[in-house]
Amino acid sequence: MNINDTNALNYQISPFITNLSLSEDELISTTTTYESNVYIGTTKGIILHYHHFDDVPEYILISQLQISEMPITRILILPVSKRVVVLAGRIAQVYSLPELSPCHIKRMKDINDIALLRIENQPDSILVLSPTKVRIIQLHGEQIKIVREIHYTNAIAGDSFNPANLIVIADGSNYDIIDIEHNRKIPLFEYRTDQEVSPILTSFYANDTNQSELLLTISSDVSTAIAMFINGTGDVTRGTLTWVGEGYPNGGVVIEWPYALAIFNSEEKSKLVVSSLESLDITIAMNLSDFKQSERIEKNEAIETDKHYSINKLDKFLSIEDVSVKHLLSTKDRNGELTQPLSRITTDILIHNQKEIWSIHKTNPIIEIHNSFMHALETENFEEFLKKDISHLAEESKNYAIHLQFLAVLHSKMDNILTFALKQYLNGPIISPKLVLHLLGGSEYKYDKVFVGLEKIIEDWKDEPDLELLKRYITALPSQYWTPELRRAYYRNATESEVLEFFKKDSFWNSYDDLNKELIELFITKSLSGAILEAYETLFEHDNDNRLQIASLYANILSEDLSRKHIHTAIKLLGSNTLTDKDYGKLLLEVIRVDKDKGVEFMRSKAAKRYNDINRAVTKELSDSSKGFAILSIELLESSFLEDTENQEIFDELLETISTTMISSTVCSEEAEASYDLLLREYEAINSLEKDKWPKISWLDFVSISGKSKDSETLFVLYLKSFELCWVKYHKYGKVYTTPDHKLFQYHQFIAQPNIEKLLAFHDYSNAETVAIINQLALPKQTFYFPKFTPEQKKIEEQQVQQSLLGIFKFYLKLYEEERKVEPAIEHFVETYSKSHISPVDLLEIIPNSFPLIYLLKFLEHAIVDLKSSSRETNIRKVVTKSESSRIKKLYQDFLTV
Amino acid sequence: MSVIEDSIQPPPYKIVLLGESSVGKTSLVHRFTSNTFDVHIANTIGAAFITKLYTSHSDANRKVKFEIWDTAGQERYRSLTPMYYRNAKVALICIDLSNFESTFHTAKYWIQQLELNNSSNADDKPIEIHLIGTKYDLVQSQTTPKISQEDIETKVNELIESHGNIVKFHTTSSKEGTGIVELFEDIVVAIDDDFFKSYYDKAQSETDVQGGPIGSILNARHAATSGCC
Ligand SMILES: Nc1nc2c(ncn2[C@@H]2O[C@H](COP(=O)(O)OP(=O)(O)OP(=O)(O)O)[C@@H](O)[C@H]2O)c(=O)[nH]1
Ligand SMILES: [Mg+2]
Repeated sequence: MNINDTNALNYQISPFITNLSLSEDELISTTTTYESNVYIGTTKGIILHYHHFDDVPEYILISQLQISEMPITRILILPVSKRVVVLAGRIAQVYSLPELSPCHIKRMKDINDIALLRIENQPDSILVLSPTKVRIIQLHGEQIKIVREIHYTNAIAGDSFNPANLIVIADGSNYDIIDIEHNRKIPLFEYRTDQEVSPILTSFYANDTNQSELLLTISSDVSTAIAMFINGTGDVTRGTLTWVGEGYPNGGVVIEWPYALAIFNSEEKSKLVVSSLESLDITIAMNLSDFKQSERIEKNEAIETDKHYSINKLDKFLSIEDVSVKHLLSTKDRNGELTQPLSRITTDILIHNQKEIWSIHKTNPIIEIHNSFMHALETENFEEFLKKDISHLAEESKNYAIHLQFLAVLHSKMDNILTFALKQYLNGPIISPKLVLHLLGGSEYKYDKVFVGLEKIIEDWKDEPDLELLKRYITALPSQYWTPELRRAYYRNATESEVLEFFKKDSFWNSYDDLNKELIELFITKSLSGAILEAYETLFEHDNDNRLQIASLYANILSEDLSRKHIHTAIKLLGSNTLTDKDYGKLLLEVIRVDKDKGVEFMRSKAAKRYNDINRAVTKELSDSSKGFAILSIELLESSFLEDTENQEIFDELLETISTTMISSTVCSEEAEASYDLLLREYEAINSLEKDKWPKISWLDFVSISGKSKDSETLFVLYLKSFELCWVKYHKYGKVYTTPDHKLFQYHQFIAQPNIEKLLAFHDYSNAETVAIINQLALPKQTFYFPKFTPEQKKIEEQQVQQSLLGIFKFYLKLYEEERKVEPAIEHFVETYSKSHISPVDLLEIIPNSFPLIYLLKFLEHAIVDLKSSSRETNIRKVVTKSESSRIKKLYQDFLTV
Repeated sequence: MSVIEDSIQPPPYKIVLLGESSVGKTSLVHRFTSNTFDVHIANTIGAAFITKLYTSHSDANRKVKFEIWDTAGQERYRSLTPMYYRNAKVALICIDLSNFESTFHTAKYWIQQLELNNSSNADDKPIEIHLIGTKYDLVQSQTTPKISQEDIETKVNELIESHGNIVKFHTTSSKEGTGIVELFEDIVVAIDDDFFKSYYDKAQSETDVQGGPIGSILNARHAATSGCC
């Protein structure tokens, strides 16, 4: 035990059981304890049984037993045999522990006092003092066994050494040593002179001499008492302790090494006097009163109380609530509700007056640490305070001390503030983040729970907020402890780059809740556009419940000020299929504005079908300015159209769009036009009638094959598409599409007006012949939209077909006559049509005689075979005769001989 | 001091009352010990101890001193109860007939606890259990009871059949004072003759040898110590 100043002891007197249910004239007469039970005897012969349940801090009354009509004077615990001997009205009765059921053991009558003896191997031996004898008894089952009996007149008090080879007994005036082994009595000394006092014998273990000693009090005169010390051999061990002017310690003396605590009750007051057994000086004298809270044992002013106090030492330590630290370690929440500390202490000294019981126990070290802090705060010097070792403190106290240390380093602006602020225990940060926020961020941030001992210190805290430190604190704090207030505080005080960095750790952006809404508002006020986008993006990813709402907000924010950096995000959002048409369209336009290619690529590959209309509208709007959009616009239309090819409206729109796009300057550039012209020329060349290659390729097939390899492929594709649509429109719906007045549509005119001469002039001999036979153009082999459509064929008079074909034949012959080398064309014609539409005879009639027979060989061969079979030889002959060519005749002869 | 011997007292007989709070344990004890009934009786805290001398109406030789521990039914005190039923001869486990379901449930809990306790100290005679259906006056006056008389009987009988140490089921009304004397009379009548015999034999032998074993020690000591004091 240390004395930290001369006027105080590191001991406290704390209320223990102060609300006893005693009747008006009932007083406490004696107290004792056993395990978690406290037994309080009263002057009405009742024992109050208090019990400590593990889940409540205080002791609770569990029974009140009427033992006697007389005051209870002694409750003697026999811990080994689990019994208790109760002395009341000079009668001793035995009960069982802990509940105090009567034991059916004979009562002992006419007893002055009883005490426990510590005899080796004979536990629970009782010293029984009666007017004529001193006995040592033991309880064996339901029997009382008397172990020793000594004649002694009027023994009123006794105690023994440990082990009890000697006992000391007091009669009405003297102390005597009794040697139990040898039945000898050795008179010691008188304990009283003229004053009527009770003898006090206190056995204790002396830590300096390492032996069992007895303290025996002696009243010298009315105002002075002394104490003598003897050991187990009857020798005096130390000088006398004197209490000059204090009277006699009628409230008892106990030893708490190295102190003797004695209580002096007088008419007007009660006093606790603490003396040192080492120096034998009085250390502290303290007046006792009905302490309502824990008080330090210290010198104080005289307090008048007429109550009689007693002190007694317990055999075993008792665990009790530590009320001495309630004023520090209790916690208070915002509603002012207090939570008591869990902290318990042990005590083995109880003092009581007539109505209440206190304990005396060592001062909890946290009190000293707290006081040291307060002193440091006053003197602005924390050096000494910070040196204090707190490692041995119990958890609650340690937490409290860490709070103090944090305040100390904070106030003295040391480097390691965060180390303290961030200290953790099993269940999280020791210092509540809200409290740190309050101290670092300013008093507008409310903390919700605080140690009562810190309340005032924190309320009076004057240091300026330190927002930079606060941010560092929050960043370093594990994110699960980020309260709404902390997040708010961080975002409120952070720069944009800090915000963005913080986002990476902030997992609370998972719900579009009020706080996050508020934070977004904050970003808006602070114009932290990056943060706003990040917030929406994160929310969008994580809050499925509010996804649509967030998507809309997010899209709007993105649309407002889209930068290249966020294109990817915007596209992701567009592709998420969560936006309303309006938001989608707006954002899409914005994406296109910033990065056309990305936008186009998106629409082409990832856009959801439901947005087709918007996509089209968008591209249409933009298609004037860019070929890309024009084409995209067509693609989008096509995609809608292919879903519903019967939809004439889209059909028309598609055709119209293709047609206008085709001739727009973006598609039909000068270059493209040149390509077209070139293609025409190539067609003419490849289709030259002078070439012996039949059938001739149709113009459209030629475009579809050769157009691909040209630079202006777009144009040619559109060309073919427009043609197909025009063709289908005409043949399926019977409608003529009025093409724009442009040379690109020259060929389209043949759909409605299949003109053979013009086709021939176009060099599309193939289609000219087709028209001659079916009176309509053939579609190219490759189609885009209607692969299966075949138009109804109109019946054409065979005569008309012949007429048309002959027209074509005459065209070829005319060329021949113009000395063009079109023999292969003629050869093709006669070979092809002589079999079906035109009779060989008719043909032979119009072929000029000069025409080389070599080209007609095959034709004639067939024709003659035919003729033969149909007996139309004469006709042939006629023809051949008519022909004056000897070569033919010769040939003919040859044939006939075949 | 002297070890005194009054004229031989009737043997003590320890009884413990168990059961849910407010089933009427304290009221039952009061009716038995002081023949009173208090509607505004407070809940018992921890436990109360009452003794009562009782002589059988049918046999004046059967005289006992009942030592009754009236325990608290409130949950808070449950952990304490074992220290009160230790060494008890009889447990009165009370069920409130006007609140049968829950109080019956608690009764079963106590039966189990006693069985556990009995099996752990096998040498002692197990505690005999009497089931007490209290507040009979309340169910008598009820026109539409929550649970019928027959159902109660069935449940109680099932319980008795499945637990060997349940002796009997009694119905009582502390308010009207019915069934209570009968209950204690039953208990006294059922006590083994041996119990009385061995008690009185032992007590007699102690009075006969006036200063018997104690006296001999006394005398021996007297001789040894007289030289000193
Ligand atoms: N009508 C009627 N009421 C009763 C009877 N017995 C007890 N009561 C009432 O029931 C309530 C509880 O009675 P107590 O005797 O305190 O019950 P307890 O079992 O001792 O309760 P705890 O001490 O909490 O365990 C009181 O209001 C009594 O007046 C009875 O036989 N009839
Ligand atoms: Mg009760």
